[in-house]
Amino acid sequence: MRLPWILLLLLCPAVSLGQDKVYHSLTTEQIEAFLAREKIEFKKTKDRKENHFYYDFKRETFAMRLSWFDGKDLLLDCVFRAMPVEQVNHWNVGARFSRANLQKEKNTEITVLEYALDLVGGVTDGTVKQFFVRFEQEVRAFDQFAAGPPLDTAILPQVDDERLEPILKGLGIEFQKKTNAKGVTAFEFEVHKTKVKLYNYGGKELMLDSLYKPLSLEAANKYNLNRKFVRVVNYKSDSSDFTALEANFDCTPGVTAGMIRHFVLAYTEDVRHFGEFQAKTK
Amino acid sequence: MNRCLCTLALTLLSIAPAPAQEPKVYNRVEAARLEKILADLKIDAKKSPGKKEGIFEYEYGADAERTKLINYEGFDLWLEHVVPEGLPLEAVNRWNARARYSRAVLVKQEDKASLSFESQLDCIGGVTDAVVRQFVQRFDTERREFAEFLKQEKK
Repeated sequence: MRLPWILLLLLCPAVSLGQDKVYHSLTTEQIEAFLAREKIEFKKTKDRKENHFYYDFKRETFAMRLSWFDGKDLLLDCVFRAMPVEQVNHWNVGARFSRANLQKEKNTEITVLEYALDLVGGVTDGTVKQFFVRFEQEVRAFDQFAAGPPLDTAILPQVDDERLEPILKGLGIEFQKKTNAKGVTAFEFEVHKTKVKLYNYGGKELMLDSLYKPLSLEAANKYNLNRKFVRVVNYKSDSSDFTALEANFDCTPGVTAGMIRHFVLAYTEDVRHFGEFQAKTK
Repeated sequence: MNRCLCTLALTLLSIAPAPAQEPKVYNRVEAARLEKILADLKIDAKKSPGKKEGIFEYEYGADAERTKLINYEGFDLWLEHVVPEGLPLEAVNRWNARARYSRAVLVKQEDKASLSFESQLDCIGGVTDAVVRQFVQRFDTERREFAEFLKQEKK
């Protein structure tokens, strides 16, 4: 009469992951049981695609998402603010497990850190657990990476050309320096195949601009509507009309070299972004 | 005598002015710090939560000067003054050609057009209280110039 308990064992659905058992796919029930065991509170949503589900949860202060793709693979991701593509690439060169990429969320650019796990070759409970542990480590490391180098706290006594030059050189920017009759210096350089000028107005104000073929006023307005920190303006001149991408930086309250560095770096990213916009816009 | 001289030296040192402190540089504007800056500027702002967690809005100024300051999780600040009427894009562009720290944007929602007069401050590279103060005060100056510009455009 020992049969009944053996039958019960055979009939019991394999909801939980066995310690050393190897799985080649995982059901949503198994994933949800795992998350519950790890005390991860989640919100489940369904994708438009069949057999794709999302589990949103929080770890420390980071909002994360686990994507379940038909039981065959899992993806963990975490969203960060947009960063220059060079910085994203820098992470990907050094990272061993995760990858970062720039994406668009509605009209906003974001950086997404991802880590995928292919289940088809076989995973254990330990593999899935380590997948989560490793991703959390990557997220913490990426958060520090995204914050950039330690903050520069020394306020510059003045923003003169002699202080701007090492800042530009430190960014790997090769420039040509020209001073006009009014004493305004312009540092001319090229980024993303576009000529950029950095103007120094007596150490009180810096301005960056780059010139393009003319866009329609509607397109210029549309860009200003959707992008921060820059200004797109159409100009008419005797020789030709053109569109300018501009950014201004007020130095009068006292600034650091780090602030100027960030102003220039952020603008080079805007040049890349605007170039793509211009290419798609008639 | 030596003891007197030592005492005198110590006394003089203790009353000597302290070296000027560098202003604090930070790359995230906490709500409390921003609110203190607004209070120091004697700006009485009404605070409300923004569209997402971590975003806060501060509204201040009389109707015709109504200004909204938005703090996006401390990473960047946004100032805007909305004019509830449209303007031809040529005129919007004319302002943008002369603006230094602001811009005008034509916003169309359904049948209604409005002008967003705005400015943003990227804080990630570092800011000080003086930088944030200057951002707020300069916006007000340019907003008044923009109001004059609109009057001229309507003539």
